[in-house]
Amino acid sequence: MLRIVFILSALLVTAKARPISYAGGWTFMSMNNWESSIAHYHYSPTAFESFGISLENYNESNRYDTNFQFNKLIKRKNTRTSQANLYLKTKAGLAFEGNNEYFNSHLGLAADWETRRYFTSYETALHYSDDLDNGSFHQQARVGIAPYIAEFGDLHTWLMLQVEHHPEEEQDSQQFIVTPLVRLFKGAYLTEFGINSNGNAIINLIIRF
Amino acid sequence: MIKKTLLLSLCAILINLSFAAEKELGETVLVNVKGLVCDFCAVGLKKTFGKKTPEVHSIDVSLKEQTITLFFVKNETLTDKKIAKLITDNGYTLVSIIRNYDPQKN
Repeated sequence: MLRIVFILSALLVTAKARPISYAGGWTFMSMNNWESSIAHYHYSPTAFESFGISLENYNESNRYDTNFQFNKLIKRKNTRTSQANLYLKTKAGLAFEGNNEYFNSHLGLAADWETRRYFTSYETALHYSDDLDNGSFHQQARVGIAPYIAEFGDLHTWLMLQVEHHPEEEQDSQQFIVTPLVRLFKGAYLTEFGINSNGNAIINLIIRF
Repeated sequence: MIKKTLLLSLCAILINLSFAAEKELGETVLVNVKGLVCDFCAVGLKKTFGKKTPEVHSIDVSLKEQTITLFFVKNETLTDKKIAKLITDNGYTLVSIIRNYDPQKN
């Protein structure tokens, strides 16, 4: 069952979006990057927190993580032209590698600011797995621009540039990864696609129910 | 003769029923908000005011004007307090509520 989920996830690559939906909303997100494939389902009882489960497969090792997630909107600032958010992202569960299982946890902060024309976000995370790769630190930033301003219900298009930093990686090409992306969304469906600096194609999908 | 009368009566009843099935529109309320910049994030407004509040017939959302227009079912409404709670529960900041709003005039 896990393999089926990860195969499906492999068709959909690295989705990054707000970790909390509208009150009473369900969200499916798929994240598939250079090191892992993740399927994530969450429920937002309010617009300020979400609870979910994520299934993660690490591509270069026989490792699967199963985590429960809790995300919290720490602060939101609304203006007539913009919205800014600060989130706390946490998850904990078990990592399975071969016949071994280990405690696995993740703690991160994510911030974003957007208008109808410009978008920017930054995310940092500490990842810990007992007895596996111990701890690792990651950070990521995005900037984006909408080539045209769309109204509610129309097709929205964003051109984005994502930069990832993985300082524990030995190769320079894996420490810094740059990905130009095109993001499209309409209604409850969002998709992103691009090719990163290592030549890996990226297709993301998020569906809100 | 009796058959014709019965047939006409049945037709009249069916016509009346078909009109009654479509809810009549009542009051229109304009809600000014802050933070309405992301269409994908605003999907929840349709869910909130469309499905969870039967008093609301339909809504229009304008990202440009930062407004939500609520079209109520005739003789139905929501209090300002309820509208405010639904807006803030969706993560937006309420600016004002304008009752008996006329979209044609404005």
